[in-house]
Amino acid sequence: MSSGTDNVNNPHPSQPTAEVVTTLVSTPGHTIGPFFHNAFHWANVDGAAAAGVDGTGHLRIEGTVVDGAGEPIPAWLVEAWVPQAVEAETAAGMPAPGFRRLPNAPDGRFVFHVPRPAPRQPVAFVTLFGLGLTRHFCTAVFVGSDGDLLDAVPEARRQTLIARPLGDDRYEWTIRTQGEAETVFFDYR
Amino acid sequence: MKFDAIPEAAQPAAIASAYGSTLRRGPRHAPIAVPCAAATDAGVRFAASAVPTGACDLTSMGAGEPIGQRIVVTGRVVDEDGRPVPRSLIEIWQCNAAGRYTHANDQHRAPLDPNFSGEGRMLTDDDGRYRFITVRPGAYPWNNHHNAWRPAHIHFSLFGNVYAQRLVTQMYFPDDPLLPFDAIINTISDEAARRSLVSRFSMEETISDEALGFVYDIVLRGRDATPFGL
Repeated sequence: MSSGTDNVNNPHPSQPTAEVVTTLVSTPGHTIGPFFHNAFHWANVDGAAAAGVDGTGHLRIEGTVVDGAGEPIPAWLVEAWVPQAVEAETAAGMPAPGFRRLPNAPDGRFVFHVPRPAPRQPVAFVTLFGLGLTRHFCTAVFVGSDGDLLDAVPEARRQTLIARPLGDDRYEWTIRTQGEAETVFFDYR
Repeated sequence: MKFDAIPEAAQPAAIASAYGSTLRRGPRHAPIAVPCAAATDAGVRFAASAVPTGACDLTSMGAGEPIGQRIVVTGRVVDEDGRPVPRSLIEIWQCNAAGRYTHANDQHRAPLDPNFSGEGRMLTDDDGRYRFITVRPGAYPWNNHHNAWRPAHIHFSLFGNVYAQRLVTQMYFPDDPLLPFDAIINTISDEAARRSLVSRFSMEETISDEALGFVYDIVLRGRDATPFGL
């Protein structure tokens, strides 16, 4: 931790004190709760409309979110950051290039579409929000077994980040928030 | 940008015995710290056209005036260096003055307000500032335990300028008597971190004859940002 306690003396950066504040402590995250769906609906996008605009072909990721008992978790939110989609989707005039936002279904399932990734890159950086998650958690999904992020993960847990091919560019991926085979979450530095 | 570890006590615990639904859902493993330029140097940029200018006034969405105490909620979004985070999308959502959300899953005994949906969004300006007009939300019960009531709060969602700055949090009101009892804010063990989620009343932001002003400043993770636009 750096000189974070400075923030205790100056919790309001819009009213700086006379002393120089070097490092502030970031605002804590909080659960998204159960009532975000209407407010977030305007930016729901699964990437299906972007298929073809980049010319690299699209993959379909079919996911499920399950809890520590293996039960599907309904009404959560999955967001994906897809850097390899940004250039083409910007050129196509899309309002949120490289972004996917997907509330999952009552059975925990979600589907999104992404272009093929560059070598060693994930197909998507995935952010998970929901009732019972006290803050968001970041993970990533791969369609191959090579990647810098995968190298940072103990071998026994790598499979949690690799989607299983179903054929026809479809892949299946289960996010397990807890328990045996708990999905790996990252803190990007 | 550079991202430092968040002290454990300054963020919510993933599993908290007092918050029942975390028990089977919260991850048990700590996130793995890893360098990743795609996450720390780039992020979603929403087109300005995606964010209508009127969407920051939650009291103007209906055919008439919403019921409740009209308030201004404003503040500044900065990074850990104290530098403004410009053009960051902020989404907010909240219940109405009676404590009821416009959401199919909220069926508790409090009236809906036909003139209030409780949703707003805007982009921060070049100085990281934002400003919403809304009504003060009510407290409401939740079924976590006997007599469990959420303190009045407004949900905030921010994208920052790079992916690793993403933040979803809640803003509380000063001197709310429910705060000490709230199982959700108490997932954060550090008192200063809890206090950073509480807005402050501001007479300067209060509009005479119209609305009370509350200031809620937000510090997103990350430092050593590249000047915006470069």
